[in-house]
Amino acid sequence: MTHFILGRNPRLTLIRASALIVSAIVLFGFVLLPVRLHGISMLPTYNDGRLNFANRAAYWWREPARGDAVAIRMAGEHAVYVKRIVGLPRERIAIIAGVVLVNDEPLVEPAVVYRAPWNVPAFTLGDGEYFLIGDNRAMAAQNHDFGTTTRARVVGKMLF
Amino acid sequence: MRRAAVLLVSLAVIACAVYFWWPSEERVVRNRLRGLADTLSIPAQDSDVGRVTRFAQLRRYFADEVEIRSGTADPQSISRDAVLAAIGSWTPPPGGLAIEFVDVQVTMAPDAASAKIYLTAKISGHDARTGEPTVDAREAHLRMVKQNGEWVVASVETTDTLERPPS
Repeated sequence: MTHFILGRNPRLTLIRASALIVSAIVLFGFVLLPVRLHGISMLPTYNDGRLNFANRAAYWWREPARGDAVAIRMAGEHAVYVKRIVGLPRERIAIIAGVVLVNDEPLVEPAVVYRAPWNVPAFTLGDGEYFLIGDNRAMAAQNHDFGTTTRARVVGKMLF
Repeated sequence: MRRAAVLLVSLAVIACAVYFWWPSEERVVRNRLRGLADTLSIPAQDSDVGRVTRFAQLRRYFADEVEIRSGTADPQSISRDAVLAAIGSWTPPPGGLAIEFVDVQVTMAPDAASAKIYLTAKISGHDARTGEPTVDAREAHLRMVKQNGEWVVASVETTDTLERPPS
């Protein structure tokens, strides 16, 4: 039985197992945050119940970019929002009849399929502020959590 | 060599046990919050007796006056009875509701008579129309005070993770 578990070379097996455990701890403790998506606000990109990962390493060397689907921390990282970045710091944002305007230019959003006629008056993002919305714009605006957040709350970019 | 290893492991286990089970006010506050979440949760098969019992238990979790603040609105000071009446008037969705406090951060006051808590309230239930499972989460700041030997909630402030633009 011991031979079956540890193989012909127990020392090598233990080294491999240790390396695997350390890699998993580093990968899932510091780089990838497992996220189970709940709700319909990111349809059709992400279905309810889908498993994904937030990649913390994505923003180690660069800042979040427009179009990135990101995880946003709440009090911690056990519950996060997943939304898409549409507005970057110091940009002027507005939504007119469902179309997002960035610095008065309509934003092309390939991930958005249906658009309810949302309206949000123009406002300007501050330093380090991002404007995020889910991809499901067919929902009524009052049922959809969207808005501004700070860079410190962005956990990472969704892996796929 | 083997004896030294056994001793080292034993010491590590004892140190872990002391760290995790050593009595402290912070641990009492955390346990109290777990109790509050359990009491606020509504089982799928709720009965009148269960509801009355829950309300009697909930009374023990709140101070006589509770300060409530939602988002950017001005704080309101309301009585414990009004808090319980508000909870009681709410119709729970069919299939019950499970409330869990996650990412709980407790900051004790120097005199250990009050504590500031920052947490995420995770609410799992079922959609009333489709029956599909739903999960909602809200950030909240709580202040708990020790009254007559028990920790009670003195203020609740909910925070929007995503701040809506002015409309």
